[in-house]
Amino acid sequence: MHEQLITSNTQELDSVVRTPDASVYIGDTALQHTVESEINTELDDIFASFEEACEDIDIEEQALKAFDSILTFETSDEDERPRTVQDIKNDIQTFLSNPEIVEMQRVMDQIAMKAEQFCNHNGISTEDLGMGESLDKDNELSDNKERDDEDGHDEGCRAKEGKKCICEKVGR
Amino acid sequence: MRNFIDTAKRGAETLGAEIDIAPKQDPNKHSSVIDRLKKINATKIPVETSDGVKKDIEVVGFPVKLKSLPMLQMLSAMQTAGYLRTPENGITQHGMLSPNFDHTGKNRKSSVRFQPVNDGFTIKNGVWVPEAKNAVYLAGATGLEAEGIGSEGSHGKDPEHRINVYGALSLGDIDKAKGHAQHGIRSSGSSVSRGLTNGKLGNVFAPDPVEGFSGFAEPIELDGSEGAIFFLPKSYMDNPEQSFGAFITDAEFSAQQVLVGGALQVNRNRGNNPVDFMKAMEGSECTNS
Repeated sequence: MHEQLITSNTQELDSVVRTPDASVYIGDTALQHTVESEINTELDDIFASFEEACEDIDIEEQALKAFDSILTFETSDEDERPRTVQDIKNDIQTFLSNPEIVEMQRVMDQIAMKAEQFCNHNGISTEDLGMGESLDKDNELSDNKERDDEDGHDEGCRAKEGKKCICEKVGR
Repeated sequence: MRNFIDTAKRGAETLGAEIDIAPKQDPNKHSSVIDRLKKINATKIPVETSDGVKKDIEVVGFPVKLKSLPMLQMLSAMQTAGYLRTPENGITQHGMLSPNFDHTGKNRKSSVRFQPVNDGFTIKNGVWVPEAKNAVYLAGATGLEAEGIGSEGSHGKDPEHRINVYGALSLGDIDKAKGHAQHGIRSSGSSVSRGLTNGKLGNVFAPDPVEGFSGFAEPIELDGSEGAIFFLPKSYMDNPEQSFGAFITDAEFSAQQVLVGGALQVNRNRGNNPVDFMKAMEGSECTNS
């Protein structure tokens, strides 16, 4: 029922609850009001707590100190339109849609494959290399160690396709 | 006191929805918060431009104290740009607040992180906003950190780290690869920010000598005990698309795409072939320690 409720309210996504910290789309109007109210209360608490934090501090004095050391500010050439974030985002869009990117990704894949082969044949744990996804691979490696003994692989070798050894294929 | 995630999560769970704790980037969702921020009394600061014009800028000060941490956490989720003054050295730095994750990359710490850049004090057409390229780089870097990447965990998803380890391994240089890994596990600062800072890895984030982007300074972790003050210029609130990373890393791009794409675009502008540039990265020496 809940799924149906969400689906039926998909069109309302743009008007539903916006949290300042996480995106949550809630289509139920009654619940929306409830959560909005709670969030507003939360905002009230945050701003009230912030005001308390400011009570014993002279913000103006601190601000003058903070910016006193900055003697001058640069100005842009009035005839030159400054590049905006949107300009850069457009550049990124253009860049990402460029065939060069595809080629670059191919090069990256080649590099990654070489790296993987190097690790496989030297018994190197990716954890030692600070690679975040190493946990799963290490678990796999541990599992493989037991199977390697049975299959005649060196310890740590993962140069297998399924259960078949491809050591020769990869030049081991 | 419940936080926003708890409140939202409870409501969504009522409907059977699954919550992703990592902030999604929606250009509109922070508007109500910014509207509230605009109502806070601002302080006028007299400044002088490089051509001798005097003017006032308005800033809102946020003391970094335990009682204001919830506010700063909220601002960090919005990847808010601003200025931080730390009392011990009296230095004011420009940068962006970013969520601070623990070593697992999954849980946020109670503290927040400030990622400074080394420039940004520029008035463009009378509006005091961050340099656009700074905003993009900061949004990319803090966006990755908002996804739990770049701190103590998830190094493999850090593009700079991944590329360089692969490069060293592709040449069979395990020492170089492991040397690079050491910089990936330090407790403060991310590979992303460090790669931007020195650019000596031959990486995609090489600083732009033409346009003068000087990179990031060392990240600062704020737990409320520092006595620092974070200043948010009023003009930033009027230009959220240039001042809040959450408005930049929207649904169109991932934070990584913003960072890599923006940096590579700079290299293309300098006449570098991106493919050649990438190939040149293979086995580049790690100087980040």
